Amino acid sequence: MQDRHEPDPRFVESLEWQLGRELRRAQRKSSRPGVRFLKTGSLIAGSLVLGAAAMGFSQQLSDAWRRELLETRLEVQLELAQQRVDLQLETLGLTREQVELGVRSDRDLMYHELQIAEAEANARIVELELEELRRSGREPLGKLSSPLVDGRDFVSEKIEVRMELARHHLDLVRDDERRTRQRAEAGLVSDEQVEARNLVAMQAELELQSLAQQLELRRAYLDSQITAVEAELKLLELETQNRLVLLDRQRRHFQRQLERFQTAMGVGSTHPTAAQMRARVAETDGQLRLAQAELEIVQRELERRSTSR
Amino acid sequence: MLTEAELVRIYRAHTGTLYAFVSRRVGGDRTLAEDIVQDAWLRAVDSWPRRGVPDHPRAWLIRVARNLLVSHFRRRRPTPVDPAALELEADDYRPETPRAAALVSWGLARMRRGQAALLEAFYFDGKSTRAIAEENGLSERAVEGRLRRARQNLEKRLRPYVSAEAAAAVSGEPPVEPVAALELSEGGGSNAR
Repeated sequence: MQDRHEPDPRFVESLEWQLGRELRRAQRKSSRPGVRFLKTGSLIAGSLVLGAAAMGFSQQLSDAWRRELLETRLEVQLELAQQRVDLQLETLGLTREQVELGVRSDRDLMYHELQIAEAEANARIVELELEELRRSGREPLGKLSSPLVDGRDFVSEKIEVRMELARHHLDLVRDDERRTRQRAEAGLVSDEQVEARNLVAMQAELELQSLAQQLELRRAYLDSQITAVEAELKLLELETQNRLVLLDRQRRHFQRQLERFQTAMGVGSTHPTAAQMRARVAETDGQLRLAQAELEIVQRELERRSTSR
Repeated sequence: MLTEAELVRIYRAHTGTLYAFVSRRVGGDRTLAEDIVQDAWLRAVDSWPRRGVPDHPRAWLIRVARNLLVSHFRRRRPTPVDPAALELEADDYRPETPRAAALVSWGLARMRRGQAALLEAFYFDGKSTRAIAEENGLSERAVEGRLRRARQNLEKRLRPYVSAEAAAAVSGEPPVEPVAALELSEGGGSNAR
């Protein structure tokens, strides 16, 4: 007799077939030219600037009192972070009931879940920092070239926590994007809103890719394939490339907004709102030029290092 | 690049374990277990070709499945359970019916990750306090203390949904006389070794 925790062979066979088909589809999609890189920031990285790094302590905590102070602060931070998780969990039931009553939307429930995931990630990061401090006796480190602690890679562990959150965020914004597209097809929302959601989804995708690539750089550094300076330079290159991708996308979005506004209102470029929109496009242009210049400097230095080897 | 042959090899090597992991947590509810397992694999097919197959695919799949389960149980309203079907204090208790497992998983999805992981290992993976202690580098006594506190927390969360009358109202059957009511004293009981 089949064990109740064993899968049904028909299910296993049918899923295997489905996965093969999905893999071929995904590979056809990825062979098209597309976005390559990412940026860190916004929700994922921004929400996780935590712990010792934010405290301004020196790296070597030679004085016992400094270490004790930092440990106490991290303990309190952890307690507060866990309380935030508890609070979000406690109010989840209320959000769900409100969704059932029709007072709030499914989207609110999904965002509430994201807040829980964010609070959990925060708590986990502080927990890791506390553990690192206790094992190493120094301030927790977050650089790609930071050393292992007793053979343990706290840097990668923290990146993985952020990746978990980034995945959750991506799922949510993709779902949002899909719903908005469906509503646009039904004529309920404008193409502009679809475009805006699309931009958010792309940003979330880049954030996740960025973290995955940081993890790869970290591995390359630990395997001695790259030096500490190269690791930091490559990270900078990665971040700048992603900033460029996003800025370019934003610029096109702002430009289209401006054109739509001028067409719809029948106004020229001197109209105050149109002028404001134009200024936003110009500002993005400036940021793009800056990012390009930074990228050139970083890549030149990487090139110089690779040829001088 | 991930080839179809490699994917099939990994799939065949790990699907049974993944399914069992999920199934235990949903009390053998086949429809739900299949949905979660399918979703976890689809995420793998979405992620692996771009980011590479993880060093430990099974651990990756289990982590994704766990997150999917938590998300599922956080979204749903719990169904009341008869106290006779939920002996959280018993050393050898395992939530084996879909309803009991769903309620326990619902409660775990609302607890802190550390406490939930401890109870999950105990109730769903059948691990002893000794095994948990060894895996986490703790003393058995420390694990017992943590388990006791975690059980108290779980019991508090589940209390409103543990009722013979409410369970009967949902199932449409008369209430069963409780054989072993949910008794979680402050001190808790001893755990399986």
